[in-house]
Amino acid sequence: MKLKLKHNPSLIIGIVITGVLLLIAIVGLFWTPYSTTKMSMELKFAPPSAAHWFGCDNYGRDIFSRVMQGAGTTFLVALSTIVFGCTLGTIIGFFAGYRGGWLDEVVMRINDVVNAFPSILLALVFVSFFGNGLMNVILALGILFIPSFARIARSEMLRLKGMQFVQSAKLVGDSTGRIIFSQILPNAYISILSSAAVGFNNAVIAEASLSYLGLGVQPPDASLGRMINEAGNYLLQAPWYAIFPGVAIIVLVLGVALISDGVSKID
Amino acid sequence: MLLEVKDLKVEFHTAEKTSYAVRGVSFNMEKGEILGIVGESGSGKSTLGLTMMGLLPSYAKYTGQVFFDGKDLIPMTFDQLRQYKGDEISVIFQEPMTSLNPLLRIGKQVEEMFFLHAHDKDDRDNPRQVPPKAERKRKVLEMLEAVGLEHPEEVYRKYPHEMSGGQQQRAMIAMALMCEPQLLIADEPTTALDADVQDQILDLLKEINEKRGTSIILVSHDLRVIRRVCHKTLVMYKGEIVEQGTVEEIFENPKDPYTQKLIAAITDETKKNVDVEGDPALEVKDLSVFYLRKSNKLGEKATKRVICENMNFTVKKGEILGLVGKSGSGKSSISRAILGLHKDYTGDIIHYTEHPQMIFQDSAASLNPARKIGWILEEPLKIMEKRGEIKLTKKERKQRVIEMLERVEMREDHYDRYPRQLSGGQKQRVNIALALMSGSKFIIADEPVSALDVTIQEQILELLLKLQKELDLSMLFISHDKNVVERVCDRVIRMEDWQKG
Amino acid sequence: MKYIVKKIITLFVALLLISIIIFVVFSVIPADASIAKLGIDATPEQIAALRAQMGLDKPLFERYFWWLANALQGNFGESFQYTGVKVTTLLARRLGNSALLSLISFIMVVIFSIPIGIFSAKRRSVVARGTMTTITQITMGIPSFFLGLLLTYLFSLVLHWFYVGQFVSPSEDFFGACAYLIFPAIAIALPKIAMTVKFLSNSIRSELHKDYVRTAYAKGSTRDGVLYKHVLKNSMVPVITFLGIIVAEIVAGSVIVEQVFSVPGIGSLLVTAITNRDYPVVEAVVLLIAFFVIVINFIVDMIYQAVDPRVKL
Repeated sequence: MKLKLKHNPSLIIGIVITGVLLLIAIVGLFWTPYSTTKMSMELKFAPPSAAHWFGCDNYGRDIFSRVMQGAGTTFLVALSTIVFGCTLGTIIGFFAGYRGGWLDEVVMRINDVVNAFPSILLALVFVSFFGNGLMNVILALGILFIPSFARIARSEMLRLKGMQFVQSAKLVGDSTGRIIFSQILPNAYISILSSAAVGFNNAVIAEASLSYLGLGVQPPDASLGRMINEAGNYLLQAPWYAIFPGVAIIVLVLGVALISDGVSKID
Repeated sequence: MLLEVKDLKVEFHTAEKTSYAVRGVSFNMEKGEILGIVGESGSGKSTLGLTMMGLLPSYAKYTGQVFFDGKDLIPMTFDQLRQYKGDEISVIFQEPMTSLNPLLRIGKQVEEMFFLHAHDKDDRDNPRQVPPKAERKRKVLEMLEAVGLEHPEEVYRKYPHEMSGGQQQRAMIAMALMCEPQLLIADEPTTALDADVQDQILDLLKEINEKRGTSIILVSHDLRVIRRVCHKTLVMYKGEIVEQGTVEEIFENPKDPYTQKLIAAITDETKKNVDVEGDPALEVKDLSVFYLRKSNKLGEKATKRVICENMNFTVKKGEILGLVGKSGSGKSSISRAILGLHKDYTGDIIHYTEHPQMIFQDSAASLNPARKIGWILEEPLKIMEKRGEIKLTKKERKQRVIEMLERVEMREDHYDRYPRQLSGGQKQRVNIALALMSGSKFIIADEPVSALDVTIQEQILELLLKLQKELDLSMLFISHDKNVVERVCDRVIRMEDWQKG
Repeated sequence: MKYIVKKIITLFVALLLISIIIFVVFSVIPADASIAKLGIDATPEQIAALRAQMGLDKPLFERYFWWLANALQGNFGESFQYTGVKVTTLLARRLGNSALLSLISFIMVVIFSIPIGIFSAKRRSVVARGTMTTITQITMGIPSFFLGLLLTYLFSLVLHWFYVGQFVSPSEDFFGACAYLIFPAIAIALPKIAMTVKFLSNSIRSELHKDYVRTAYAKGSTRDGVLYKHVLKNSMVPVITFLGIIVAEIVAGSVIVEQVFSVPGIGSLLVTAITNRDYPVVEAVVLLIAFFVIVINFIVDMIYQAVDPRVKL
């Protein structure tokens, strides 16, 4: 597959946006311009300035530094979630689709059941059982994403396994594993990749929503959703406190959505 | 004079390239004539018809003049031309199933013509009353009957998917004739249909021409269709008219070398029936193949469809046995059953050769689009290595593949190409190479040329015959096309002999 | 007819299955409900007594049977958090508010996304398309709670059009309640509108390449005639399924947005219940939402087969 970047502006813009944010976020996990915990009464609700680009919060902490760190957490959660859900989901979906029969039935029924719940709701319930915190959020969202990837992988498998090149591979004598991974997977990865991007965004929003409700990532781990929650109490005094973490989420989601759009246009 | 086309040029501009579909075409057509336009895919024959109707995509640019009844259609605005479409010039297409709106009843689709063309034909600015409902329906029913649809009342209420391909095409024709147009453009109207239905539709077109005086332009890749129906014909090649004249002139005395090739391809001498003595390569005894369809989400019941019953035949070593059957008769299921890809069968299938292989009809679909030609062709070698049958270095493997590519008359540099970078004919050559890669001596060729253009068909058939001689192959050659089968096969058997009814 | 009967049977099987799963999950996973209720300091005797009282010593199947029988009569037991208050009472007070919020959001999605989707699909110039795509793409990614916060800032704090927390229940003042709920409904609906616009205009554009569209032009249809008489109905078929998914997402979205606007609905009930480990309430809400989603899917199936004649027999 050739990446024709020239005719794919959304892919270029998406990669640039996501790349820059990713860089900031990774740096944010190790280093921030100011301490994210040091409080200062003089800087309480300081508006955006050259020294504090995004201003300061109710404890006088630098919002830019906290957004950097929060974005890092968000990336970490969303990426781990997707890697976990996508890998397991793809393997399950591929085998279910290829083998058909009872395995397929079981996978599809579980799928139906999980699909009956909006994913944020399931995540809430999961968290209510096992408690909140970074690992539990990753685990909850990751497990929730397995069925949707299984469904996509399965439908790709159903589309591809009937194609003649698979038959001719069978005739030539290819083994099942080789047919699935060497013949079919290279044809399916574009659509799996593009839905992984969509899933990534769902994970970002879900994590932010959980943390906003106070049921997601807990302090001392920084989180954009939690920041917005706290900022909600100071909208009049410091609207920038809510706006910058919110805009960070929107830009992050936009970047990945553009990548997804661009990837699905690759032929 | 009904139609006068002068120096028509059509170009397609896309981001990647500009292609010239029609390169300066001029011809005339008299009223009441059936004019054939014949050519292979990419010759610009369909573009010609679509241009007159203003149906080209927006990235098409065209110049020239098309005088219809004395008026030039080319400079007309969308709205001016719209009044001619369906009213004076109608068109029917290759795929009747997809050409009809799937969500509307046939009656409604035909009746729409009254609303679209409610004006006087002589004075287009003068609006005409849309006839009342009862009269509209009566006229539609009459028309449905006139195009040979039985039980027009029922057809009126049917959705497209509830009818057969032939019926759908008749409904398309009814719709096209509703406003009594002077010209009907039929763009490959029978290509997607079964052979006997094809003949019925062609007869219907002839009848319409004789009874109603409708002039018809019949676009086809199939010279036999043209010969059957048309008075005059144009032969197109790469966007130009290479020859035109009456059908008799063209068939009896073709002047252009390309026309000669086309005609040669359909009238070629048949291969002599050689009685091959010798050992069998494949024996099929009492073979019954069927299809079990489970009940599905659309609510269809579980069904068992019998493809053939108690089939018996033998392919001898070094022989090409032809199996002829209609399209849709399940020929492919038989070949797949013989190779173990289709499990629903009873009877005995005995192979006397190792690694029997198959060449599929759709050359594009049978090559993995995500892999390079080299990778695809090395796959059988890798499997043989795994089985311990051979041992090759990476270099030797590549060497073997390149030898095979040359054997099927392709070049070394095709090794690094993706299937989509090859033409249809080249893809089919790769498929042949793939079938031969593991050294198999028996091959099933399942409609290997029916998706290809006539001149390419000829080359592939030549190649198959050459390889068969060189490598002493045995072949089961499956096709719906009697001419093709007679051209290559030593013996021919027929599907109908093992089918019910 | 047969199709409908089959679908109805499938519906009930799905409902039964979901109820079993929810029951089992809620019986097995939480550290025993009696501990949740009494706290970890409880003595073993206290726990045993309570377990017997709550029927937790009986076999799982028997408990499911009684639980289902009770649930069907609208009895979901008592809340752990508010002792003596029935879950049903808690739900009843709030269900109407949430239902109204979801309904207003859904109506917004339908009445805005369809015309905007058509408008967007009709744009032919590269610039207009690019602008539409950018706007929808950005709007899709706005988290609804953040959007809600922006709305409260603008309309409540700056413009004083409404005051967060001053929600009146629809039974007292229906139109007042609706007027208040408009703002949270916008927060829920806007990203969904953007998604639906994108989906619909893509669907229309892909339909425009189909053969029957060429036929419609060949018949002499106008551009609008092709769009409204032929393409629109065909492109709405996949949108129906999509809207079914959107309904479920609206319900989930309301759980979060209710927090922002202090709407006393089942969403805020759920969040409080989760924080306090009030499992009977969580269980009832989850069951309710799951049933709702399944019934919506059933309705979508019904509409689907009414619109598309190919799905009959």
